[in-house]
Amino acid sequence: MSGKQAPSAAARHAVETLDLAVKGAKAYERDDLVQRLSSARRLLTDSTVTVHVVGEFKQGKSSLVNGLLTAPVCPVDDDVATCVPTEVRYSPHVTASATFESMPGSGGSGWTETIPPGEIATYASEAGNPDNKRRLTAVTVGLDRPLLSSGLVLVDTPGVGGIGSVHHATTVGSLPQSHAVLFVTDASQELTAAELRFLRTVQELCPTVVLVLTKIDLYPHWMRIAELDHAHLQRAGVDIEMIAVSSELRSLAATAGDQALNAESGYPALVGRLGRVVAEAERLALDAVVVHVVSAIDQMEATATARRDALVDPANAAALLARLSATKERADALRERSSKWQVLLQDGFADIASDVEFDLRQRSRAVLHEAEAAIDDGDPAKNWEQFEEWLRERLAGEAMENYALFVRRAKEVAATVGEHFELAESEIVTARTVAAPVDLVGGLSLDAGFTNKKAKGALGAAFNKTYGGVLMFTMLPAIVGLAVPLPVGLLGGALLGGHGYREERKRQLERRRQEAKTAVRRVIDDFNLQVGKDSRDAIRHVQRELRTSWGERVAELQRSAAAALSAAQAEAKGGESDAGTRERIESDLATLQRLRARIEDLRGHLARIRTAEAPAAAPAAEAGVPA
Amino acid sequence: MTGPVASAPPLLARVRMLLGRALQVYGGGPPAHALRDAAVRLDEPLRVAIAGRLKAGKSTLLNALVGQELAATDAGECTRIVTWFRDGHTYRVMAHPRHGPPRQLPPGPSGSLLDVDLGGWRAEDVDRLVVDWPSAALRTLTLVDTPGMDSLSTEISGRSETALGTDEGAGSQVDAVVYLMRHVHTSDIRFLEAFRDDPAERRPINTIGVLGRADEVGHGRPEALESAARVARRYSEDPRVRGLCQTVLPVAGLLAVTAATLREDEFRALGAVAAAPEVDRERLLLTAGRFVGADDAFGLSHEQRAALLDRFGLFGVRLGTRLVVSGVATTAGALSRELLDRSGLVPLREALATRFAARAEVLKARSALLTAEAVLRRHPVDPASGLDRELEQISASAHEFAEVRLLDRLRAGELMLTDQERRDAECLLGAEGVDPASRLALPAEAPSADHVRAAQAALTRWQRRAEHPTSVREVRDAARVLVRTCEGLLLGATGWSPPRPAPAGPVAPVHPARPGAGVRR
Repeated sequence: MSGKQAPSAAARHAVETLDLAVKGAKAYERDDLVQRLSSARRLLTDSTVTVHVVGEFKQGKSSLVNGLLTAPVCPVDDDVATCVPTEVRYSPHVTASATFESMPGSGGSGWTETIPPGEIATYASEAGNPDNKRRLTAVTVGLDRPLLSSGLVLVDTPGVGGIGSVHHATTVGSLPQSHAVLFVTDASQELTAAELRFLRTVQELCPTVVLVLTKIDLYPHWMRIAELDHAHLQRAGVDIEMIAVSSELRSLAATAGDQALNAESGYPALVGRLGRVVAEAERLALDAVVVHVVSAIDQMEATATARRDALVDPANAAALLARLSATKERADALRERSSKWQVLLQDGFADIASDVEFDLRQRSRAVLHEAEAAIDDGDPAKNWEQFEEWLRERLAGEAMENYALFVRRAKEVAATVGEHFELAESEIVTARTVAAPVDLVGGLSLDAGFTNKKAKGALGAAFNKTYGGVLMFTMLPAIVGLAVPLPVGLLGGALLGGHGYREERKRQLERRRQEAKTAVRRVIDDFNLQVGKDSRDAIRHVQRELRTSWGERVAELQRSAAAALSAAQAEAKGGESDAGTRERIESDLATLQRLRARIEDLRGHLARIRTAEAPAAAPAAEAGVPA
Repeated sequence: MTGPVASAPPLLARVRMLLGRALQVYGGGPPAHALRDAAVRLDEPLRVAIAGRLKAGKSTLLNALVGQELAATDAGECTRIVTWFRDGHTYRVMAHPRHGPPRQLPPGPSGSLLDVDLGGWRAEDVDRLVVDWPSAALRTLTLVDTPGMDSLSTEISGRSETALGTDEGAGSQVDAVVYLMRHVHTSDIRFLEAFRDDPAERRPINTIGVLGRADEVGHGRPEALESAARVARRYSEDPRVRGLCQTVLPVAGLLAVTAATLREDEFRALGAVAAAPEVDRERLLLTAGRFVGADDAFGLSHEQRAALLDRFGLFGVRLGTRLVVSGVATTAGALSRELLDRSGLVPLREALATRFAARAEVLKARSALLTAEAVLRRHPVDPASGLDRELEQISASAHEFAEVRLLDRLRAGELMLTDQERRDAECLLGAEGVDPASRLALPAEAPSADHVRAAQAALTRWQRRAEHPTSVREVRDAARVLVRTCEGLLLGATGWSPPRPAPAGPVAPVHPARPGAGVRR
C-alpha cells in the first residue's frame, strides 16, 4: 500500500534507463554493478516521503493534518485530543490499524491489529484512551487521497507532554528519517523560548523544516505575530520558511466546495510546499540514480575502450597497458588499509566518539549539578514525582542534543572523507538509520524509596509543606533557560524553630537530601552508561556503514580497472583482430553512449528544474508571510 | 476578623509591636528601611500580583479588574516594566529607577499608560512604575502587573521574578497572586511550571488560578466559554493544581474589559453589523481578515471595524452581534451587562473578595513576619535574639496561621481524611469564604439558631476525630485546630465559651510542637 502510485515522467525515464544499464552490466558479467543499479532502482520505486507534524499542545496539529487531507482523520477536541502518533498514508481503501505495546515486564515485542476506521478516535484521542491506557504506540490510517498518492506519509504527533517531554522526544528521535517537519504554532502569540530551542534542534536533525502558523482566521493581528516570529527566528539564526493557514476555513471550503475560501485558507501554499518536498525527495533519488548509472557506464566503458584501443592500435599497446596498470594500482592502493580515506574515516570517527562522549558527560554533569542544587534548596520528600519527571525530561533533552551533535559531526566527517576519495559517487551515507537513544531515558528507574521515610520519627511531618512546590519550580527554569534567583523565601525555615526539634528536623531533611542525591547520581550514572553505550554503538554502526559502502565502491573500481587491463592485455597479445569483434565492441560502446545521453538528458532536466525553482521558490516561501 | 477566639490580642497588633521593637534594635541600620516598609504595608491595601506566562492576558485582566484601559496591551509582547496600580486621589505615574530617587512622569495625552513617556529612561533602567488612579476597585487591593515569563527576552522574565520574589532578601513584595494560564495539558511539566512565579511565597492560600483568554479556547466557536469552563473545572480538580492554588476560574479578559468600558458608538457599530442580512454577516464574520478587509461592509469604515475587532476580538464581535440580533441586548448598558456576565469576571471579583480581601489581615501579617524574619536572619545581632523568639511565638500561636497552615496541608492532600471530611474541614477553615455562614456551609440569611446547631455538630464531629484512638497524629493535630475553629464559631453565634480555660486548652500544646512551621510556609 506504500509506494508511488503516480511516478513522474522523469522517474519513468530514469527507471527505463536503469533497466537498460542493468542489461548492459549483465552482459559484461558485472554482478556488483547489477546489484548496485538494482538498489538504485528501489530508491525510485519503493520510497515513501515522511512528514512529521510537531508542535506544542493545542496549536492545531491534528486540524492541520485533517485540513491537508480534507477528512476528519485525526480526532480534534476543544480540550485535549491526540494522545498517540497517527500515521496517515496512501491506501486505495480506508483502513486503520493500531500498534500496541506489550505489557511492561512481559518482554513481548508488541503487536499490530486492524481496527474499524470509524473507531480511530477511541484509540488515538485522549477522550477515548485517557493517558493511553490501551498502551498504543501508533495508529496507522490508510486513505485514498491524491496528496498521499505520491508516497507522502503524514505523521500527527501528540502535543501531550509538551515539546520537551520524553514522550515527545521519542517522536523526535525518528526525525532524522523524516523528509520534512511541519512545526505548528498558532497566531495567538509569538514563539516562546521553549519553542525556539526545539526548532533549533529539529533543524539539525531534519533537512526541511516549515513553520506553519495556524488559526489565522481568529486573530486579526496574525501578520504582526508572523513578523515577530520572523524576527525571533532571524535572531536565533534559525533559517526556515513560514506558511500561514486557517484549518477552519479549509474545512469550510471543503464542505462548501468553495475555491475562493480554499485559497483564503492558505492551504494551497502548504500543499504546494509538500508537493515540493515530495518532488525534492524524488529528485534526490534521481540524483543518486544519475550518479550510480554514470559510474556504472564509466566502468563498463573503460573496459570496452581498452579492448578497442588495443585492437585498433596495437602499436600503442605498451603505453595503453602502462596507463591501465597505473589506474589499477591506484584502485588497489585505495583498497589497502593504509590508504588515506581509511585513515581519515578512522580518525574522524575516533574524534567523534571522544567528542560525543565528552559532550554527553558534560551535559549529564550539568544536570547533576542542577539536580543537586535543587535538592539542597528543597525537601525531596515533596514533589518527588515532579522532580523525577523533570529529571527524565531534562535527560531526554540532553540526549537529543547530544545526538544532534553526533549526526552533525558524522556528516562532516563523511563529507571530508568523500572529498579525499575523489570519486564522483562519494554521496554521503547519513546517519538516517540510527535512532536517537532517548527512549532509553523513559526506562531508567529512579529509586524513590526514601520518600516514604519522611513519616517516621515523631516530628517528621512538621516540615512537610514548607518546601512543597518549590523544588520543582527552582529546577524548571533550566528547561526554559531562565535565570531564577534563589528561593529566598525558604530561608531555611528551620532556623526559627526550637533547638531540639530543629536539630532533629534538620537531620532528617539532610538525610533525605543525601539519599535523593545518591539516587540522582545513580540515575545519571545509568544514563551515562546506557546512552553512552548506545551512542558508541551508533557511532560504530555508522562508521561501519560508511566503510562498507565505500569499500564496495573501491572494490568495484578495482574490478573495472582489472577488467580493462586484462581485456587490453588479451587483445594486445595478438588476439584475432577480426572485424566482427571490433564491430561488436563498437556497438557496445555506442549503446553505452546512448545510455549516457539518456542520463545526461535526465541530469539536464534536473538542473533545469532546480534553476527554474530557485527563483520561484523564494516568492513561494514568502507567500504565506506578509511583506 | 478571622480570629474567632476573642481573647487573643489581634494578630496585626502583635505584628506591629514586633516590627516596632525590631526597628528599635535596627534603627538607623540598613535593615530599618525594609522594616519600616513592612510596617507601612500593614495599613495599605493587600498587594495582589497578576502573573503568568508570556501573552497570557495579564494586562488585559488588570484592565478588566480596574474597569479602565490603564495598562497598555498589544498583540506582541508588551508589558516590559513591573507596574503597580493603586488607589489615589488623581492620576499620577511615578517611575522608580533602579538607582536614584523616584520621579513623577508627565501623563500621556490619552490619560493612560498606553503612551506614557519614560522621560529619557530606558525600560531596563526603571525598576517599577507606580500608578495612582482613583478607583473603587483598587481601594481594597493594590494590583501589580508583571512582564511575562518564558519570554524570549530572558531579561524581561528575570524582571518579573525579582518583582514577585524578594527585594534584597526583605521578604516578598506581594501578598497574593492571581496566576493566569493558557490552555495547556496537565501532564505537561510546564503546566506546573506555570505556577512558578515568585520562588518565595507561593502557597495555595494566596493564589488563585485563572484560565485566561477563555474566549479563544475551542477556536472561538459559540460554545468556547462552556469549553473553557470545562477545562478550568478539570484543572481545579487536579490534585496537583489543588496543592498550588485555591481554584481555577475561566475569564475572558478582553470581553470583560470591553464590557466595562463599552461606548455608545461601539454599540451602534455592533448594531449595524447585526442589522446586515444574515448571509453577509456570516460571510464577513468568518475570519478576522474578512471582517476588517472587506470593502464597504455594514456601513462601517475599515478603521472602525479594525477598532471593533481590537476591542472585542472575533469571538466578542460574534457574541455581541448575536446578543443584539436575538434582542437580548437592546441598549449599550444591557450589552455591557450581558458581556460582563459571560466574561467570568464577576466570579473572579468575588473570589478576590472572599479569598483574598477577607483574609487580608492574615496575608499581610504573614508578609510582614517574613520580612522581619529575613532581617533577623540576615543581621543576627545580640539584642535581636529576643525578637527571634517573639516572632516564633506569634507565628506558632496565632490561630489564624494554624488555620491557614492546615488549609494548605489539606489542599496538598497530605492528611488521611475521607473526601467528605476534607471538604467539611476546608469549608470550616474558610476555603469558600471566611464569614461564619460560609464556614458552616449555611445560606447567608440563616438564623443564628442554625449557626449554633451546625457549629455544635461540627464541633462534636471533630472532637471525636481528635480523640479517636485510631487517628494518626497529624489528623489528631488537624482535628484540634478544627475544634478550636468550631469553638470560635460557636462563641460567635451564642456567646458560649469553651468549658476549659483557654490558655491551657487542648490546642496550645499542638503549636509548640511545630514551631517555626508557621509563617514561613
